[in-house]
Amino acid sequence: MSSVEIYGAAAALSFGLAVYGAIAARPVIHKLVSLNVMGASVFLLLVAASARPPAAPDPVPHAMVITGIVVTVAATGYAVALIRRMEWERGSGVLPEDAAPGGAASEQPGGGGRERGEGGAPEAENAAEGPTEEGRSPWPGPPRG
Amino acid sequence: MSTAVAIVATALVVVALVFFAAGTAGVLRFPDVYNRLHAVTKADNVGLGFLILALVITSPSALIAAKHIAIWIFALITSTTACHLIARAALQRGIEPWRPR
Amino acid sequence: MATEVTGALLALDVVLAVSLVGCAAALVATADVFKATVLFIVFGVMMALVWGRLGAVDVALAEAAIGAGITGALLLGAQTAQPARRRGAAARGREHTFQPATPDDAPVYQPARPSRRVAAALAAAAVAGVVLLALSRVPTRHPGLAPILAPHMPDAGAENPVTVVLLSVRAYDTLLEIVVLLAAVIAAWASAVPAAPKPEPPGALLAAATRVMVPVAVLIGGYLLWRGAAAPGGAFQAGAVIAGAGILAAFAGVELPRRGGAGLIRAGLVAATLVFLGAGAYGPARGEPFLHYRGGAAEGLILVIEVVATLSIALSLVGVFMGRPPPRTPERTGGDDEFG
Repeated sequence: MSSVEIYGAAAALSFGLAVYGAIAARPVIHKLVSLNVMGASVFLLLVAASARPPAAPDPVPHAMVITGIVVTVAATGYAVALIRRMEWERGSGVLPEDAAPGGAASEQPGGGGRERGEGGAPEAENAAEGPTEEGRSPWPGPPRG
Repeated sequence: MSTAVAIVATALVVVALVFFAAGTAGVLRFPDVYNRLHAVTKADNVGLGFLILALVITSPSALIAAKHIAIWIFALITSTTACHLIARAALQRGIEPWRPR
Repeated sequence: MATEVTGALLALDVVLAVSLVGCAAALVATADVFKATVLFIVFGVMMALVWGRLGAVDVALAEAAIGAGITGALLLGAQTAQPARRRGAAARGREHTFQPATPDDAPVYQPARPSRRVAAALAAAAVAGVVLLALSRVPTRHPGLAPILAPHMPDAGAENPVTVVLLSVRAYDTLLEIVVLLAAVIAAWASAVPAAPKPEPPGALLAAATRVMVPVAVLIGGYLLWRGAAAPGGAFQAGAVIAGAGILAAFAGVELPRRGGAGLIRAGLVAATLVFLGAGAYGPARGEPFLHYRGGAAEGLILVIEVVATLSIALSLVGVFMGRPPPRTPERTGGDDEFG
């Protein structure tokens, strides 16, 4: 058991956990955090897999990882801008296909709001998921809770 | 590095760890944000000071020692400011300081 | 003695690895997005320590400054108060209302449906298993890429092998990376939402700390940039540290000059791309390939590229953090200027 193997295993496990988070988390910003963990795990895996101590560290993967870190922060910055835009347009930080299993009033600060019409696709999807509070009531409803 | 320096440096690191452990215990156990901030900033600043001291007495040159001290000073400035901002934000949001019952 | 040190370092490795995985598990499991973001910052700092343990000091600097610092600020900034264009508000004749983000009315998210969580867990387990399997089959006896790099080192114009890879051997990657940063700024600004009402000034202590820390951060950035030719450091780490100073200044309410500030920022954003392309033309001008510069001119060209890239990277990172372009005419937009 060497440090390289330990960090390789840690990278694989963090990557798996982040895959779970990216799929199962409902707020888009939480998915974005998970995606960042996925990226960091890939970088760790790359450097750990290329390290052959006691030989000197290989500079090429290091340079690739620095490039990757900068590209990741650029993508994250754009994703944050898109999320803010989505919250501004829809009043919600959750994608329509991730609608809450049991009523989403508390997830829309101040009562929430959506630009789409009541009969639009998001509501149809909600109805298909089962009798949700959001699917039954005319929308937007009064602030609840 | 002589044995005496190594012993003193080790002792300083142990003292630093005691302060870090106290600060961490404070974050976990204290009742409200203000108490926790007090614990973490005070204990960690002192702990970092001892750690920096250990690094200073073992550093190979005066320049590196000066860089270590500069790191401590900047950490003091930033952690003080961060502590102030968090406490201020908590007060502005109406979080009442904890009082013993 | 040697084995004792090895044993202690191995214990450190195990502690760091367990902390990394623990942070990842906690930030995935929590329903509180703010908590997940803070745990991600902790994850990034742990990661920087791991890079140090793996001998990747350049990466450790980049991870601490960009991965934990700037990304953490970006993710936290996404959760601050912002205006919301809402149906009800529009009906009352207002374009948008202010949507506060306080602990009491911050959204509480429910977990996803059980079926989705089971599917996600299966996918995660499968991916982790495949990666572990692949990792166990990585050949342990290969020379790596260092021998391929070695012949380029003497006349590359820098002594730090990571800097040589970034700015000479694989300069194409770095040029495109700078273009990606520029594209991210343009795209983020294009999808900007209206600015939130300007928050009240954050107090005298932050202003005083900003006056001390911004010059220090710029100095540290310059140091990292200069050292990057021979030791760990370089344009990206320097740019990120200076961007941190810019974000701090913006928080403290520092404003752009009334005239010309916005234009200068836009010029600074594109400067690195233009200078890099110009340096790339040095090769074709001498009958060599694009981005090919070796020998005498290499050191000067790399220095110029790195200095300008540091400026553009810092401005780009502050730009995506701000999320909107600086107003061209501050006189007309009044108090909306929050690009510091």
